Amino acid sequence: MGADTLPLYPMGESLSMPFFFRIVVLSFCCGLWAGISAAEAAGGAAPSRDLFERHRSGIVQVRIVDRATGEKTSIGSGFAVQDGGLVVTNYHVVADLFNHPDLHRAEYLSDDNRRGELVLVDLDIVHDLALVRAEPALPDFFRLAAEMPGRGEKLFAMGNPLDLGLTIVEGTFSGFIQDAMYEQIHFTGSLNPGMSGGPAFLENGQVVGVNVATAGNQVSFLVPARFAASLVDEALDDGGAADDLLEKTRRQLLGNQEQLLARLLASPLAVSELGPFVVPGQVAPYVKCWGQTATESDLLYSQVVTSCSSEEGIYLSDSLATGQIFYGHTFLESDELDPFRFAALFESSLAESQSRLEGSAEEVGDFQCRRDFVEHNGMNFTAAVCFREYQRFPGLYDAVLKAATLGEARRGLHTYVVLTGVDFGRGLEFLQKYLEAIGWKR
Amino acid sequence: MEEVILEILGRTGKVKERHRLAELPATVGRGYGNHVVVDDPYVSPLHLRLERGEDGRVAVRDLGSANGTVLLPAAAKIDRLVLGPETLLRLGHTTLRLRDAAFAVPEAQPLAGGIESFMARLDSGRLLALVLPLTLLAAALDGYFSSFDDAEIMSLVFVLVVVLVGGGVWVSLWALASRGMAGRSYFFAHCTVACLGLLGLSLVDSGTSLFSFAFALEEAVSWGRALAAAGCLGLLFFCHLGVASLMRHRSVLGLSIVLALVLTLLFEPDLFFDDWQDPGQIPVSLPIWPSGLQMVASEDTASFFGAATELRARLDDERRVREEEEP
Repeated sequence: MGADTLPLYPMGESLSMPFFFRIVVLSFCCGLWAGISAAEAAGGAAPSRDLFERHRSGIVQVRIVDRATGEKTSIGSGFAVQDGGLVVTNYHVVADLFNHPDLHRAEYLSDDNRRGELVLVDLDIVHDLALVRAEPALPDFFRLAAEMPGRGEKLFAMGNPLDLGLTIVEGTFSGFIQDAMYEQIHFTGSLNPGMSGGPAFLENGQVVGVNVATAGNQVSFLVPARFAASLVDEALDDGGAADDLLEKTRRQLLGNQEQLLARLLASPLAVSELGPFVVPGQVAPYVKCWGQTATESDLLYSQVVTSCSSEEGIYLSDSLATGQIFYGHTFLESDELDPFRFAALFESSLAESQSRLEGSAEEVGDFQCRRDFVEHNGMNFTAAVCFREYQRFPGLYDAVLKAATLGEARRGLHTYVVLTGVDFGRGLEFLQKYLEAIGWKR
Repeated sequence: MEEVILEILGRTGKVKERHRLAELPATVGRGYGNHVVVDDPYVSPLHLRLERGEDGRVAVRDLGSANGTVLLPAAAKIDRLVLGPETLLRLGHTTLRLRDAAFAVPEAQPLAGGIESFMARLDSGRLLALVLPLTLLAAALDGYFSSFDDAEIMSLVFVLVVVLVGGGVWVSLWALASRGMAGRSYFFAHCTVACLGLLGLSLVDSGTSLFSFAFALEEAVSWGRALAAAGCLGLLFFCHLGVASLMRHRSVLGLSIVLALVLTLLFEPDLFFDDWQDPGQIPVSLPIWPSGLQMVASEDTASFFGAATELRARLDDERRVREEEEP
């Protein structure tokens, strides 16, 4: 499936990592460093050296500290803006602080050994950004670029990879990611765990994006600076802290899903063909679909599976992502199995597909489901819809539809679709539209 | 006391040998010259003597045995003891019971009908000859219906082997227990009971699946299924225990119910404990049967998804309950 063949960046490889992970990537990282210094030596002039010196006091390591033990639970980077009193970082760096403020506190440590406390001011959870107040303020700060540079323009990313100390990485601005669900910049430098929340800036020091994720090698991702800018503007307008971050985050998530679903619901779903059926195909540009046909020669049936996924999501915690869509279809056909045996095959194949979602009991409630026979487009289904609600975000649901065609003794289609973090009514509307898009090939 | 009845008891308290001693004195010991020979290396060759005293009462006298004669249940060594209506003695590792020939025994118990005669009838080769092939057929069908490649013969054989070996071990254990408790293995009866249990469970399994499909029922069926499975297990244990043991039937019934409940709880804990449910698990089963077995009419999409709005109310209730529990 998709997840195996294409390295994914958001959840699996976000750049803040618990301590134990560092050893694994250490040798890889040292090799990389050698590569960078060799390139610098060959180039002669080294603007990175000047930039490093110029900006090192505006960048900090962000540490989330476990109150009980006094040890860090996660680390990332951050950079000062607005007179040095505010620091921009990633939401996923400070997620523990947001999710369990009673168990954690945050502090910063700069390359020139300044230390201080960090207080959460505001979040843009959809774009994985957080704004924290530094006490005491930092002596230096960055400006956010108002306009994006041309493709190929040199960018410098700074941060604290793997807790090894401040570093600077060169790469280029490679434009916005094509067909992204959530707007991100493609940066051709090598970002590593721990650099999350650090700045990526032009030679003139203007920040273009915030380090957020990597797909490995030189493929890295930045959050565009304009989202950080509006976060800063809002914080200044509010005169400090947004009063209810949880409620604000809830509204952001609801607003985001409304935007995504409004687009999905506006026009008929794109369909593709699967056996004798038409099924929802690539329903949005950001959805990637993969196909697979069973090839074992000893099977008494043929099986074709397609699965589609937005591949991106919004990080809420290590155990839960939201704002995703994924769905899949399985077409089974057999000339040799009798109807009862085919039904047993169909049932076990259906049971194996999409039987659970991630999420812990403190984050999500139990599913509630409804099942019945449904008729549409001259097809008969056995179908179930299930919803569960987010514990901390009332009004936000995960929605699931599973359905299987009935009526033919030796062939059938079963399908599932999952929407995470949607409004109940909007989610249900989409599930209906999805099921209604399935039909016979003409 | 005219005559003394001397009984040698086995480990479980059952009588192994019984001797009527009409003429006294009589000696007991390992030597062949005794009136009663006790085959126990811890008993002396000439161990004790039963004799009539001057007052005519019968007494037991230890003849200087190596390990002594011990009165039970007091566990006191004796040299001479006048017998009562019932006396228990231990010699070495052997227990003797001495009773007066006039010892009163209770009236005969009535021949029990109902459940006991049913249990007795279970131990029949003819019944087993009927039930065993049925069970193997059901297992073979199960193996056949869950194999989807061209090696179906192998999976059929595999299921049969599992049933025969697993069932064999199960039945042998019960037969062994029977032998210990009831003195006979009742092998046929346990085989029949195990077969009927397996048949019942597989019937419950496919029956509830079919019912769930046909009427598009989810929750009610999962409860019904758990109850039926528990009933099946209860009956299985009741019959096994009933055949195997000398326990009163009321304790057998109680024990079976407890065992069945424990097993049901073990296999379906989330039915009983809400907290055990994995929040990620999508708790819906979609059984599939040939569509001719559908017993309720299909809805159109509008009414199906329209009715699904009730899920929101259910989730709201759930949230309210949760918030009341932990404000």
